[in-house]
Amino acid sequence: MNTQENKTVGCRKAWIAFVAASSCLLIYVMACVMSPAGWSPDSSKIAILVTPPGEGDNPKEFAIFVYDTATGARTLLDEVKADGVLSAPAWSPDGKWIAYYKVEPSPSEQVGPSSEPNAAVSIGERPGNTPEDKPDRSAPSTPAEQLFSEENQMLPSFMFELAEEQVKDKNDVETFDVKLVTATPDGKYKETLQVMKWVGGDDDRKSMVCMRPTWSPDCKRLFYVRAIKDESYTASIDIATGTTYAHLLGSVATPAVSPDGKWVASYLEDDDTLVASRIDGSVCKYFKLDLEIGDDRPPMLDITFWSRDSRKILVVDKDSVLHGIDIASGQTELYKDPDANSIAYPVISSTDKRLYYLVGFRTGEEGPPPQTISLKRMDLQGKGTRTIFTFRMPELSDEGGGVFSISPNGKIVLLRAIIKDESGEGKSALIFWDGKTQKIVKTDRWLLKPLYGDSNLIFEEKLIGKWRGEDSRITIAKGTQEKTYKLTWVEEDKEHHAVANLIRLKGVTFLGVFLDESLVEPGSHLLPDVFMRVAQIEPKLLLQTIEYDKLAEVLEKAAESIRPEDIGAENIAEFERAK
Amino acid sequence: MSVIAYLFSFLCSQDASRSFAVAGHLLPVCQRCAGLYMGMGVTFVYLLLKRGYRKNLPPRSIVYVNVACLLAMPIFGFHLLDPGPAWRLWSGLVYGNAIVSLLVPAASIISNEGGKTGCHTEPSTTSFWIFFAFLNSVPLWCPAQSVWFYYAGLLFMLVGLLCVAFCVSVVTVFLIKKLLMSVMSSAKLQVRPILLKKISFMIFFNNYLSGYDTIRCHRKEKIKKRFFLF
Repeated sequence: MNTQENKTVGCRKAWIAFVAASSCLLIYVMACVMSPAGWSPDSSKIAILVTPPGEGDNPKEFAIFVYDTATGARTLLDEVKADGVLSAPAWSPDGKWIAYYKVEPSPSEQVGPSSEPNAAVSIGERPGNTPEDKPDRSAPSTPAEQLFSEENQMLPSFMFELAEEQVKDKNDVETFDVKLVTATPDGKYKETLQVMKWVGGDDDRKSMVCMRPTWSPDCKRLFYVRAIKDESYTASIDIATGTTYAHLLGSVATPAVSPDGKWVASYLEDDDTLVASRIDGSVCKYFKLDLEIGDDRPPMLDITFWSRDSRKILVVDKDSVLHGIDIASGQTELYKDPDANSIAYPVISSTDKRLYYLVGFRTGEEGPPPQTISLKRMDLQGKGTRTIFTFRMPELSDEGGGVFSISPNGKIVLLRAIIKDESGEGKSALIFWDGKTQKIVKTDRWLLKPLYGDSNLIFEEKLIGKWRGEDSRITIAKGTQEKTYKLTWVEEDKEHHAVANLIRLKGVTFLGVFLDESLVEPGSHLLPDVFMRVAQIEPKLLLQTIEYDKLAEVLEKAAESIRPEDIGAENIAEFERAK
Repeated sequence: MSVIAYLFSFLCSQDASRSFAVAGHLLPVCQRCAGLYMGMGVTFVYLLLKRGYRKNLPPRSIVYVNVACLLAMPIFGFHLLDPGPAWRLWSGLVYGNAIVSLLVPAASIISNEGGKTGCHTEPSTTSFWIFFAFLNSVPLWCPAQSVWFYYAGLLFMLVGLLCVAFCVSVVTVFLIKKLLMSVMSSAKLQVRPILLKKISFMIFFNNYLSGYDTIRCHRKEKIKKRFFLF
């Protein structure tokens, strides 16, 4: 073979190798890119209970929103005002339903029309079902039946009777009505499955925000708790027939249902006992523990949860060590992360069946939380651990620590907390981390209803310029968007920035100030942080601060135009045009 | 880092639950892709140091192993078998090694039109096996929880990516050059007959004219000479 032939053969082989290698690489890259991890429905959206800012432990308004983490769209599912209460919401495993408890405001404080008590009601049209198909789910009429209306499946059966007698013997038992509601995530259909009497007072009503019902894995049954004095019992309702069953006594507000749908578990705090009962009422097991798991623990936490094979109940003790109690043998196995001092907010992933948890944050720990927190994963079989990602905590307000949760697919960490905004004020926020990005969603505005529309926006050239007040200076310039102003004010040598709209409402001009400039965007652009009445522009600029609630009230009362006396003359600041 | 993550977002699903976190930093690619790009980067550096890119394609024994590594990828890559992060990293590493071991010499040979300046000797083959053994041992200790390892890993991943881009661009340039040459040569072939005709005509005509003039001149001279002579 001569040199030329050698070259030709070599070249041909090289081409084959080149094409083979590049094709393999291309196929691999395409396969990897085209098969991204699928987001389960319940990890793409969150259902969240929102209360107004600054009302602490006694909020006057509750609302449940469904928030799409990808698009940022939010849907109001339900709301109550005055002394009404909503519980935390619970998604059904198929992602089609959301269940929650609801306490309607007492008649004296009721703001809007309430649905009839002690009756099952529905709003909208149930998807895939006709109204005729609905079973009669009216609540029992006599008080005794209303208190313990479920079919007894507790073992031993006398426990239910004992609990019943405890309450029935007393005449001055304080009760309130709790509705068990299911709704579609779009809020178009709502149904009250059950109206039940709870024994307790105001404190028990308030504690409802820290509990939620639990769905069975097949979504056919909903598990709930009923408070009876200091204890509660876990019951369930068959959604198709409306039949209710009492399963076990427990102190945990959120019952744990096994993934195979055969067991329900709870925990008796006083006796430090774990209770697991078969849902058909055939077996009930009591496991005496020595864990003191109820101490110093926020009630929102799911204290007990099941392993994916439904063989073990997992419990995190006071030292943040995970205990796995085998329900067949009663043996306890310890799961500990060797690199971390705690296992916080554990969740078994719906996708890879592993345990995801947070480290670096110790529940109930005194003092400031650590700067960085890691999402970790533990293989319950081999007990090997891995850090998924680490994130930095934002600066939290002194008002509250915050509550974490991990998405069911183990990919997103959510913190609900009050953070400090640019001006140092506390703002309720949802902070999402997915390992790559941090997303902050402020929720205080969610409960506000826009007081004006786009048609009320006006623009006054005269407002633009530099203004000097008694102890502050304001510079008003034209904003980047249409009919917006850019505000810069200096107070005590500190410069602040904001965006504002000028609004004409019932004959009065207001300046709607957005302290966070990013809020001039669709969905939030009609909800300013502060309203200021522009009493006069020339020769002196007179601005009067007015609270959102007061303005709403004035607007509601004013028939055609707002009179100055409706607003009053307080909080007026005077500014002269600076040369 | 966001630029690198953005770059790799076109090449990897970037599933955070299947990505290594090194010293608190999440790698911008999944575990298998991390293995793939690191394997490519490390192999490219190895080939540069050994000047393996100037030699012929690897010997048969190495090619067989590389082909076996390429064929093994579907088993792991399409999750037919997924024993865990270490295996994902390993499958990526050997796959990346196989790709670059074939791609780089192939690109070199193609761009030199089959020419090569050296061939594989026994020591160079032995060194490949040592290198291959090292690659296979990487999942046993990787990822080391150190910031240095994180940045080194990123660097090798970028090198691996650039290596592929370089090889593809070398071959593309060669192909474009070849294409232009062939276009030019084919154009020449089409132009040549016309040119030849033109040139020959010109020559002929020129010759003819010059010949005619010459003859005429000769005749005149002859006449003159005759005149003068006679």
